[in-house]
Amino acid sequence: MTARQPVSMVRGSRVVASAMPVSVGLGAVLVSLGIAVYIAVAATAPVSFFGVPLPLVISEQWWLSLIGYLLTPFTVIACYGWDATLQRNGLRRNRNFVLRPAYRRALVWAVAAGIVLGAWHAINLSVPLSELWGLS
Amino acid sequence: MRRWAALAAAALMAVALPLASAAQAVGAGSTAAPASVDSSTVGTVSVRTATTGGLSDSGQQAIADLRTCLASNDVLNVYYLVDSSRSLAVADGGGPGSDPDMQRAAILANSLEQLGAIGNGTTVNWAAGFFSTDFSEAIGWQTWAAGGAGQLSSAIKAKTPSGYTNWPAALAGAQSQLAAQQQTHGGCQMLVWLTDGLIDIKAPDGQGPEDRDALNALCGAQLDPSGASASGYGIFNAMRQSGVVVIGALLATTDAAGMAGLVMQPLVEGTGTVNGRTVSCGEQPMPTGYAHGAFVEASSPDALAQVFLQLSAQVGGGYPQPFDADGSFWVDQGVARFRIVLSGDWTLTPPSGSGLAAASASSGQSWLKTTDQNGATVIDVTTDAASAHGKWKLDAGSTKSLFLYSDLGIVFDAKNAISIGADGQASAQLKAQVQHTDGTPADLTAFTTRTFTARLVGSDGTVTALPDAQIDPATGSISIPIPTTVSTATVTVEASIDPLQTVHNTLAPITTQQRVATVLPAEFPRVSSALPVALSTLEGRDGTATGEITVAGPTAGGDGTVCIASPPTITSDAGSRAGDTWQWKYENCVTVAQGSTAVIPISVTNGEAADSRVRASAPITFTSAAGDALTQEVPIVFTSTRPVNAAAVGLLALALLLLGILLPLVLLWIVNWATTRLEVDNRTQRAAFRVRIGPDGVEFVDAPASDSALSERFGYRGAAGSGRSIDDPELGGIHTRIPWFPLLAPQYVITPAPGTLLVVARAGSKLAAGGASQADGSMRFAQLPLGAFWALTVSRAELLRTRRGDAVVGTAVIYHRFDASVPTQYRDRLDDIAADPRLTDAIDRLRTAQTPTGSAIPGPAAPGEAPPVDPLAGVPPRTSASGAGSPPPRPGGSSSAGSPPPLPGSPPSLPGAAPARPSHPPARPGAAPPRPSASPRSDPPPRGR
Repeated sequence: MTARQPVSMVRGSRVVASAMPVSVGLGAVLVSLGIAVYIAVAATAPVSFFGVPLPLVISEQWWLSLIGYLLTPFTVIACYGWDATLQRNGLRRNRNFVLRPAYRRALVWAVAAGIVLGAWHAINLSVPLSELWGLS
Repeated sequence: MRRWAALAAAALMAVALPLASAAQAVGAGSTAAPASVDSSTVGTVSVRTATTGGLSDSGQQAIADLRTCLASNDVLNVYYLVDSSRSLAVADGGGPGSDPDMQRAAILANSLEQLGAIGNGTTVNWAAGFFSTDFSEAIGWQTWAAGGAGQLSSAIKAKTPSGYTNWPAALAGAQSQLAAQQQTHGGCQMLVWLTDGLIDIKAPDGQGPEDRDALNALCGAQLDPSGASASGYGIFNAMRQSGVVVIGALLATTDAAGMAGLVMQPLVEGTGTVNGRTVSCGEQPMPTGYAHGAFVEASSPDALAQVFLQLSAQVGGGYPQPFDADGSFWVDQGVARFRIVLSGDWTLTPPSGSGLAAASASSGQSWLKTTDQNGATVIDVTTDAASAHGKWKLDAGSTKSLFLYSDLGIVFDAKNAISIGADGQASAQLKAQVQHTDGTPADLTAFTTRTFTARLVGSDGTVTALPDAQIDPATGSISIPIPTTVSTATVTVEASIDPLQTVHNTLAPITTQQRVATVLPAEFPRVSSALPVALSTLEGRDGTATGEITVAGPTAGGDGTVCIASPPTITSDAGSRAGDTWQWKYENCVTVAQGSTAVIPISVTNGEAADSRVRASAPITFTSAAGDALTQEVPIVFTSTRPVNAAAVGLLALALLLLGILLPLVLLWIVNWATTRLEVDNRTQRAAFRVRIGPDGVEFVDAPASDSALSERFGYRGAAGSGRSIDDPELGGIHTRIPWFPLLAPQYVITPAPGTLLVVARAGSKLAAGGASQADGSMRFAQLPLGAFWALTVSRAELLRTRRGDAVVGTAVIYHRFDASVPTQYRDRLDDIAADPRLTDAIDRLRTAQTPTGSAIPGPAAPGEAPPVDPLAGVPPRTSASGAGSPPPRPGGSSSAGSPPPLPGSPPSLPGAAPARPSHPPARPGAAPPRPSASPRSDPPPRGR
């Protein structure tokens, strides 16, 4: 049975949903948040944006925002899909598969937080990109 | 009149004199010290409720900075940044606004009038802009001329107040305007920023997160603890670094508006107290050479005019002096004149024995000059004559202010220069003179305290005291020896007399600066460019600031060489960019022929863009023909900007965000599509049975009695069916459904065949494995493992033929995954169906749903009407799975009607009825059901149907 469920865990005779997607998704949110905080504290320069000076990432550290952008929302949404697929396929393959709805709920919140963080990273990323593409 | 004296009367004075009106709110009488400040608490913020007529230390220093600059510069660039938000006309929540009558127009116009009247060769350039939700230019830069004040007044009156109070946009716009003007017409800089309330960038009304973040960004520190952390030092710090004296004026007619003062003061002056917490903005302590700011606050337009009036008097060289309790004050030797600003009736009595008659509002005298403007009276009295010395007395209301003037200034000798010897040692004795406004030398012996100091001010703000500097009190002559170690191409020398006191009074300090060039020996080349060397603007991270350093060859001794010894060093940059981020390009050495000139191109780039006024110092070595070398620091200055196309950035950010959301969703949809399949492998089997469902249970009409025969009824579907849809002849269609929104779970949909109805379908033995019935008769499943799926269908005709309590004939379709380890697997599947307790209820519900009224089921046949036909009539009765007897067959039934055709490859239906299954069936041989070919039990059966 375990050979047919490579990403699930066996507890006794039951196969339960893997916690790997939710772990990766929440980890991505935390890392992205850490990057945003680091940028705000140590790697920003004020940029007047529609009259509002925003502390955006300095050009040399643009890759930090890129990583944050790839983590949120990219990775988090992907983790949501990963979890959904695993649980769906697990149940399809094993009538005794134990679903974990809490994983999906946690990932929904992670996706919401990831979209907010992703918006901030996108704004940060858009300034060096606009400069790179000659739009500024 | 001496130039410095006129200049002293300039700047902020211009911001005031004609403005004098009302003045009811200003602190009572005395202006010698900051007016009292009452504090109360509104919410969590302390609010000042009194009008402050005095200035803080920073405010006093701002005036001194401006006076010092004007004493050595003949250009003043002043920008009026005027609030035009809606609150000026209408208060939030209704009622009149802070200045519905637009008195600010006259206040600011009169201040400009005074600035323009400086005269004595001083050029006053001015411009104005409005701000509310955004910043907008109102009047472009122009040199002041008669009528300018009217132009400003008209522009203010024509501007209808509307929108919010966007400080960041306003200050950024003003900073840009001043920087652009400074590029072409450099001089002293002043920003008059008038606002009537706290920052409120956008809807809804009141403070929002964007306001708190912006406050911190403006401050360059955590001014609002709930806002985002600031980066950099903020725009005010940049203006201080650029030498812009910011006069922040708050017209706070309400307590709520007064809260703005709590944050304006630290913003403008660099430090302040908010809720008992000392807040510092920008670089603190403020580097030497930065211009200070002054914050003033008034609770009404009249009071604001009074505040401007007091401010201008101090900028003009006046020093605030308190009245005695009876309104008297001393004028002694050293006080050249005094000014009184008041409102209402008044009587001014000269000292006894002066021979001067008292003057009053109704009785003027030749020894004074009065000016009435907007209800305020300004009295100027010259006190040079000894007869004017003594105790004066003013009888007036409580709103009165006194300012004393020395009318002294320090004037440097225009011929001052610093000679550098061949040994690199500087040698110079700078000269200056303390003078009266008419240019005559001043006798300082009348002053009891006259502390003289001199210092060198470096381009990076460093200060070097010159302790050997001396002043002759009797003649006012000043001598300033320069240290021999001076190595820069130019030095700024500052001379100051501070404090300056008479027997009874303290007068304003006197400070003047002079930039002095160093002169190399004739055998050495030298820089002939104007210093500091100005480069073009460094625009963005890809821009380049370029310029040239022009050098003149030696005037004697042959050709010389000029080399830039090492890359210039940044001495001031508000962007705080690391030194190694600057990339300089220049020609290392050039040879300059005697008597000729040469040019050294120089440029600089930086991958990190920032808005800043950058100062640098280039070490340049000058070599004579004899090989002697001298090194000087040549100052360089340029502006750095970080242009941002806000629209492009906004669109790009939106596109990135959408991409970040949509792309994973699209990928997820593809994953859903790819992974959602009907998993029919080569062990999946199928069978269909005729069943009769009655109140007593389920009877499999055509199920074989023996297990072996029963196994023959289950035929293999084959792995080829592992797709997204199956057409089942009895059941109908089974297909997958992928929702467009990929976060919704895919579903499996069973659509019954035409003419049939789906009674029950379950993906397992548990009731919870049932699907969700849809209005169109289909049924949806979140999961559909075909290894344990069964469904029951009935024809619509059969359903309508019967009524509640009647046995109904239908078809049971079973999908099964062969498991060699379970001998009774097929019988178990039949038992799953037989054990389902809800079949009868499901049939009744379905019947009800098929008849609009729920009672349209045909009743007993009427006489002469053909009775309903039982499709299984004639089929021998069988034992139901529950063991109870079957209901009697209906007459006239057909034995074959509705019987499902056998599946291709499946064994033919047995004509006999399946016997009732015992609760404990006998052990079966354990062998796998017959397969098309023999194979080990553990292996999947061969594909086939």
